[in-house]
Amino acid sequence: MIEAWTRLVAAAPRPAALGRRWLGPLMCIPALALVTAFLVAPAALTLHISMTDMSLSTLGSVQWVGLENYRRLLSRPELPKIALNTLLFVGVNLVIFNLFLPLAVATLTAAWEERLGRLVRPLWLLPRVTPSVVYALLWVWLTAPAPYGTLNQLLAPLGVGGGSWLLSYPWPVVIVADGLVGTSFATILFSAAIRAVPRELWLAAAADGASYWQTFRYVVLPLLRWPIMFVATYQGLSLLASFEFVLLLTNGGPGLWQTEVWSLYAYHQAFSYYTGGLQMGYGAAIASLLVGFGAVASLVALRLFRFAELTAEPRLRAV
Amino acid sequence: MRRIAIVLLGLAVAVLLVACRGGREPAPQMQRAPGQVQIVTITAWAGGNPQTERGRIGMLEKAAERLNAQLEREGSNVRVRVEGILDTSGDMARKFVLAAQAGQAPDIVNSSHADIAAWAQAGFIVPLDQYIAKYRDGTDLKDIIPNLWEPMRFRGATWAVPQDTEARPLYFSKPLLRRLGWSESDIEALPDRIRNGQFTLYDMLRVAKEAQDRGVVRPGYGYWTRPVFGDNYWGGDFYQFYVAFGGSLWDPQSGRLTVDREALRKFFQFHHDAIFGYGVTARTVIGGTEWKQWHETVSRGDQVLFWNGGVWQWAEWAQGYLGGDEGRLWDNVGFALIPAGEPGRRPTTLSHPLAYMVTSEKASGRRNQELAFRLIALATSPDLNSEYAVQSKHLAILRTQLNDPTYTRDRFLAATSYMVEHAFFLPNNPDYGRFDATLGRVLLALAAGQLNVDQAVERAIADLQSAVPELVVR
Amino acid sequence: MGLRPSRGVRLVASGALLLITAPLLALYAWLPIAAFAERTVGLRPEGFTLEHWRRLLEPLGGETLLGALARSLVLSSLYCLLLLAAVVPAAYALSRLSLPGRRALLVLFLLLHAFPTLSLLVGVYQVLRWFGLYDSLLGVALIKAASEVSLGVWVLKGFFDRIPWEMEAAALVDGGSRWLAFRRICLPLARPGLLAVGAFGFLSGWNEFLLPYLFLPSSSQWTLPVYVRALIADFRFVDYGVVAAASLVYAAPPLALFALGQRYLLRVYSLGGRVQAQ
Repeated sequence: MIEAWTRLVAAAPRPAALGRRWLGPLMCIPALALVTAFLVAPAALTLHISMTDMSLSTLGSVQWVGLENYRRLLSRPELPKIALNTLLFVGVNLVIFNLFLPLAVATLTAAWEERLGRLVRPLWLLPRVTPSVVYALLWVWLTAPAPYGTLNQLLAPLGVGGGSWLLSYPWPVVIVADGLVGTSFATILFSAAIRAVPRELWLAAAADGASYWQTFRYVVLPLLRWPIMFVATYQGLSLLASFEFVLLLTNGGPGLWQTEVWSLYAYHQAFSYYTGGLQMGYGAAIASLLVGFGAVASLVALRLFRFAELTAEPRLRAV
Repeated sequence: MRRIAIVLLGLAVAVLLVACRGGREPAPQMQRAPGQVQIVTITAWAGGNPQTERGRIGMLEKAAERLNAQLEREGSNVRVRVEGILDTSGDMARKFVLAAQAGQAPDIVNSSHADIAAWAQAGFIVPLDQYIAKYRDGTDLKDIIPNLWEPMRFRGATWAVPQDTEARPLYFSKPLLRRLGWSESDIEALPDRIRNGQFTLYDMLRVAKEAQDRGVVRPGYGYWTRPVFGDNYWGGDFYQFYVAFGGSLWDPQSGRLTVDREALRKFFQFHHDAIFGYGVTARTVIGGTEWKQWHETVSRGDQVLFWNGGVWQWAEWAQGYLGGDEGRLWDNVGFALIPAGEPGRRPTTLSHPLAYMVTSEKASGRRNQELAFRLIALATSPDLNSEYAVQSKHLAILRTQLNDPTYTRDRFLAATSYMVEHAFFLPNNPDYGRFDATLGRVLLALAAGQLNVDQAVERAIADLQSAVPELVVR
Repeated sequence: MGLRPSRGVRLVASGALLLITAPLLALYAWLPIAAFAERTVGLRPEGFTLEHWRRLLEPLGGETLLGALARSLVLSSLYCLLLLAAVVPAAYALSRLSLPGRRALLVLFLLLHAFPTLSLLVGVYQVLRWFGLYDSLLGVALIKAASEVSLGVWVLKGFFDRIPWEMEAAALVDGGSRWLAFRRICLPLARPGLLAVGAFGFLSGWNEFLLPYLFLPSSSQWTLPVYVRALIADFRFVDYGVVAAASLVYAAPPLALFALGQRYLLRVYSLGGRVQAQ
């Protein structure tokens, strides 16, 4: 059937109107223009500014300082803490909320209990579609001190707590809040992947006498390798750069640098008026390091994923 | 499909037109029509508490009416209209700088006088001397309390008009002192004893410790500083204690920032003692308390024994946290200067005036400077300012206000006005912000137990020297 | 039989799932309750009132809720259109056309995700200044579009990839140009994808907080999230009822969109069906 069509296509008269060689690039121009002007240019500018001393006190007389900002950054006493915070934030979030939990929920709802899945999945998607400002507010209220906080209200009969959970345990709250937003994304991906596993494989394994867990571990999981690695990279990068929820929930506090992650530190240094002194040069340096790290990680990941498989050439070529 | 496309296209065009207008009216903002009234919109930004400090914009709005009347009398066909925004101070300052760099600043900005140095240096605001000379005698500007012009000056020019001022007292809880065994006359006499230098900072710590030991206050509630959350820090209040030990932040003559080693050491020592030595200041106050929590606790008047606040907070507590019941504050809360650091020194307080500034054409893209100044001059009148002062509990900026019954009738303002005689101002130096943030980091690290006093002093001096090249270390 | 684990395991797991889902319920239940209650103690309302809604109509910092709402609508619509305008042709080209540098472009779009706009705000500010787009909704929309174009291209490419070649070939055989095939065949067939990306775009624009917060300073340009945030100013006593009411207004459209268009959003998040076990 395909051969018949291909022969027909090859015999068809050449299409006129839009020059076909132009069409492809032309159609890519809007996206490319957008990206060049509003993503690539800012990236280049950020790098450039990172090598100047641009800040509130130097406006109008900004000077080139080379790698001075980077040197300064690396000698800051708070840097280890911030790096550790970032590792904690990204690591725990990624492993628990973007890999383990979604895998568990996907398995449960896609493979075991379909009806439960239909009920639960919308709820899990809620954090992702809720505006961040509202979502943060909901968490503030959930963890508020007695008598306001819902958590305290529910735990009161057990005689536990009473203070603000957010301020007493900032890390758990921030990680859980931020994590739940990402969980939905990975859950959907994994659910689709699990459902795509051909039934024959399950039956074949069962026929060979494998238990459920053995099948899952040796048959299904390897087939999920691509989604898992994709989520790890994609979400990992997102987590590295995101600071919106930390900003809205704890703003890096309560203690000095307590929940300050790298991306938030860059933001604070560049855009905080009183405590940061609007040090755009220094902030840009901090951000540049982060972006550089992310770019390198992406490249490594691309190699690992055998990217070629995703970019197979389209079938209708010369037309 | 085609119809949908056309509709979408039309929508897109409409949306683009709306969106492209941007945040302000295009540059030629005066509609020219011969003989007709030209309306000039003056935009103004201010930072502050929306509940109590709305007057910073409100005064300008009322002044617009007066200006329009004046313009009419002069036979001009220009009229003004004020468009103002009140924001949180930190946000407003940042927005101002970003907007000014983009040529979209407002015509008038109200902010801390300490911002003058950086903004003047960057060319965002204009010197006002020529306007002051022109309009001084015809307006109330001539009655501004003379020493309030000092913090408005930078590099020989005047850059702003004072809008309000304040003092930052040491507040104390009357019921807790009573419970400690103090008599009414003891309590009444405390502010005077502080004023005379008879009650020092360490006397305060001792009383706080005693109260804690005797169970009159909970541990860590003996003395509360201004709250700090994360690295959200502003040092003015803390530096009162540095000044109380004889330190100074700058040399007004040369304009250079200074740091006095000995005073710095005692400053760090005092805070270290408060948190660790005497244990009367909970670590979380400097390491994780939000304003809301802090206000809620201190305004009750019977939770914390001593705390460091500002006079305007009296209004915030009364209106925001006590439902308008100022009487309860009078019953429970007393106030005094910041005690001297040690015997032989003098008590002090910080006075931090906010001021109206006029932006340059480069920053705002407009040429309304003179009109803006006239507006400010008219906003600086005893009746408008007294109304604002009473509502927000700020102190007078005009001599004539001291005769204005609206102002003098206010019990709190009358009781606190003596404080300005003992006040110091923050430096007008472009590097002050960096100085403040740098010193603050060290203080916060000390308060978190990461540095001892000696380390803090060394680190502070080293960091300050690298952050502020022109620093003078004495 | 290895198709499902034992009943016991399933029961325990289901129970665990419900247990960890419950907090989400508690989280969201508060919103409508607090918007109509005078005071709430946790989830328990005390007193019914419409006062909060009345207060919402008063201006804050010179702007009203309705103004912010309108601007959020404008921003979201503008953004959605910009995104589609950029993404649709590019996705089609990358999926169906043979163009030079195709592979490089695909790699580029994937790599772009490593350049998050959030980390480039310093540069973004300068670019906005340069284009004269500081303090304008269009500026924010363009920045956002640039940052989400790569995701959009990959998702929509997934949809285009699934269109059978035969259908497009049929159009060509009939003597049409590639462009015609695109318009007449592929676009309609990819409509679920278009709706998905469009819905996602609108939602994303509606929820955007940080860019308007930083780059739309005048309150006459505030969008809803900035407005709601301003209600929670950091030093004064907050009336949580008003904030809850405002939040309800703000969150209502995305939640409604989600309830109605769940299918489409799910498609975006599953990358247009791109994901397959390999």
